Amino acid sequence: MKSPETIGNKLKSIFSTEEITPSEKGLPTQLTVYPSTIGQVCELVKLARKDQITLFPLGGGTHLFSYGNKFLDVAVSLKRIPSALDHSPADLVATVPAGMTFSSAQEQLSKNGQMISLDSPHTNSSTVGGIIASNSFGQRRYRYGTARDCVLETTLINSKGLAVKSGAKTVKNVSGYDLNKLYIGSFGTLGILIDITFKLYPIPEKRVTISADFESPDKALKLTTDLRKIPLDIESTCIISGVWNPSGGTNLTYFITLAGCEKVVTPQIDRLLSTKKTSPELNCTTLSSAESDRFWSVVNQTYPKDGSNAIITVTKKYLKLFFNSIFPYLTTDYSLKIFPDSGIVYIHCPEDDDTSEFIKFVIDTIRSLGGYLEFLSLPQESIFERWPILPSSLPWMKKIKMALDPEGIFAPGTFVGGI
Amino acid sequence: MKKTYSLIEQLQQLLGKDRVISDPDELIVFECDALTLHKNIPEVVVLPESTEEVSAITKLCSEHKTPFLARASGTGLSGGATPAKGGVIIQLSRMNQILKLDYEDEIAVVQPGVINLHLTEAVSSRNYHFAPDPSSEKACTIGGNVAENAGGPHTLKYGVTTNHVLGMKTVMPTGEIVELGGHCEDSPGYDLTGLFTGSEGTFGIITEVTVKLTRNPESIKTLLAVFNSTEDASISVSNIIAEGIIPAAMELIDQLAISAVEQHLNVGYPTDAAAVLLIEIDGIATSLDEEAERIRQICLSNGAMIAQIARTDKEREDLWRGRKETVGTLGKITPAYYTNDGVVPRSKLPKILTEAFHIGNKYGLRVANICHAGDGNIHPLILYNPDDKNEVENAIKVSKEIIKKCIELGGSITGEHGVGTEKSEYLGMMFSKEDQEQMKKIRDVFNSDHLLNPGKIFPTQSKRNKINPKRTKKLKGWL
Repeated sequence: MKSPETIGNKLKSIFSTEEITPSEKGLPTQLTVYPSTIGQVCELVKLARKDQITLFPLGGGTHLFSYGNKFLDVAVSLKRIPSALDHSPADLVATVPAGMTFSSAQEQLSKNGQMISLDSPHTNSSTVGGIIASNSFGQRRYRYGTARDCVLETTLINSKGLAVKSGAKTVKNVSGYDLNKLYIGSFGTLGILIDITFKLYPIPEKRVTISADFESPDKALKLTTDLRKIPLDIESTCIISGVWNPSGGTNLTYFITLAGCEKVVTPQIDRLLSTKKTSPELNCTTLSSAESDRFWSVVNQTYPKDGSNAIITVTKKYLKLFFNSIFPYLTTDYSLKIFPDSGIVYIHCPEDDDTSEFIKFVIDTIRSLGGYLEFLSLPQESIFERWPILPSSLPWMKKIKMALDPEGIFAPGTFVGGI
Repeated sequence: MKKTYSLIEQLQQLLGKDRVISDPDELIVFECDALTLHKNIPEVVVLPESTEEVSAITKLCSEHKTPFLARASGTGLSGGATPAKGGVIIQLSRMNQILKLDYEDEIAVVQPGVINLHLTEAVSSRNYHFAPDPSSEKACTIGGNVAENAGGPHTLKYGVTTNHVLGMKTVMPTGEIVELGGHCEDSPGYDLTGLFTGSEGTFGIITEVTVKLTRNPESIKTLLAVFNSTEDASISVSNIIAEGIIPAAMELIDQLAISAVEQHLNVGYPTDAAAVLLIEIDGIATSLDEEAERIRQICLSNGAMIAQIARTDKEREDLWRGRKETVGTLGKITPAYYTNDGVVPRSKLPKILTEAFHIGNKYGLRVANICHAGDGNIHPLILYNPDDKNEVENAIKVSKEIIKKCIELGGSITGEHGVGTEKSEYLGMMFSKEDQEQMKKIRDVFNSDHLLNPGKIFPTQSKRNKINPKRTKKLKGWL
């Protein structure tokens, strides 16, 4: 690995002194650059390719695995590139610069009553490019899906330092290969996203959030099955406990958000409460639209930094089995955020001596259920890989990385299976 | 000395003679898909019944350096299932089993030859459906839907095929069997399932697909709005979307198409209308009346003569029958038609429909319009006489000019039919050389020898497909 001085000197041919800084703790890079133009990004990639400098595309740093050592050269932040959001309200489409913060993009779109359907955590500091590169999502995936359902077009700086497009600014398009799918969730290992075009949705006129407390996931998950039988305009469902639960307590609280026209949403509360017959715990603590937004904002800005954090994915059916297996071992220190209709669980484990054994048990359980797990953070001395369960198609993913980044300049060694 | 077997002999040894077609007369059936302007007869067609057989076939083809491609119902409209370089067609229609229906996980696992509508029929008693609904749903297969990333009228609300695919089993050109994605909603690493969907059969051969099942809405309302001008109808579409209303479907049918439908189906479209909009909303029963009224008022304020809601299921079914069979009825008023598939931003719909009309006039050809209007996805149908060489050439020119206009308006060369052989020469209208190089690098990862479905998507130096307009009379097109 080159010294920061050597790399810094090379970077000075492209960047001013103010645009180059030492990287913060937790980043795997020695230096961070803040380009002011897309042209600088292209030149940087060309330089990196020529001089074998490794780059680490950086968003808001909110979905970063905490790296203990500096094994890469330069982080690239697009936050300082001045650019405007291109919104076409009549088409329900917007092209958003990757370096813009997600909350800023949403605020601008909201002036026309529209929104990007993603509600990823930490939107105040996350960048749009970071959210797409990490395929980050929130509870509204219940209704709208994930980035793979709302990204129409991307521009990416490839390993030659050239801007390449995929997709179109139309809601329907099958021209050429859908490389957008490849870039979404690729964590910057295939290039640097410059802008992203989204299919937008109207902001619902009214949102009502209803909550119910449960003592165990088993009972809470039963409500999920019951809800499927009732026609409701559900926008999101989420079960939370511990650090994610603003009301505190050790219970699991099930939150259901209905969204749509005011006249339609209000009567649905009664419909929802009809599930009380089978889920007597369901009490109608109702939050208004504003209260609901504030509530989710608090939940989504919460990021426990200590201990271990992971995202678990199993099939919806196996979610119950998963909890039946692990729940007896969960202490009150553990926090959960469950997306029951997607089979996805965020879990936060406190840092203590027994954590490793428990984590190993969790990994084995998930593997036996055909699921997957990604650690968002681990204690420094941890023995676990960030993605401990690998897909069988990994060799083909490695070939893709080799094809699009033959010199290995984009975040090498940071992705699934060492990609 | 060890006998050397030909590829056909080896295929016969593998599958038996009854599952290997090599008689030239029988092969004519496979010379094209529903894009009848491009034709090329394969040398052999094989009928596998399992993933393992597909794998063995691809290995043999690769060993013999013979081009091969997968085909199912052949309803595609871009030449994706036409053998541009001859070779072997792997016909997947015998792999037509629904392997698993799992209502707890709300998924189905199907073989590629399962007919689209058959899946919906199989799950309807449990109040589910398979959301992608191309107008060819009675004939097209789910394997084909995945290969082309098919759409349909209801994709306006429910999304296209890629939004409903969780995983797949594929056979790579080398014969290797690979699982992509799975039954979980997310899996780690690059999204190869999303990448394969819409790759037009150029990466691998899909032999199993895991798809999401969608719960049926509680209630549905279908509204027919009748207009004096196509422009008013298309402005209504833009205004409905701009108002923040996203119907389940919003289809536009113009006068020429209406007259064909009414002559042959008599479903109740007014024949004196310049255009009709078929708008469907679905969801919570109590919400639909208000939404329907808002849509009705938008249509009336834009000059609709009538805007009324289907009162019975029969009326609704008739309205949809008319739309879904429009293309078939056109075959009765013209000896042939060429189906276009452009896309524009939704607000540009009035402009492109006017342009399509003028472009047709310029070349003296009639153009019937049906559109997935809510998506900005147009399907101008260019009517021509296949016995008139001049008309054939003009039909191609009309299509190309419409596509060029779509690009000028910020659109796309194809919304749901794919590039195939039809639009490979147009790819450069949308994508730079470097954009295309990026795509080709991915193709070469999976299909390095270009033996799998060659001559598709990317521009080629020479036109390999024969144009045989006379045969186009026979074939029925789908949208």
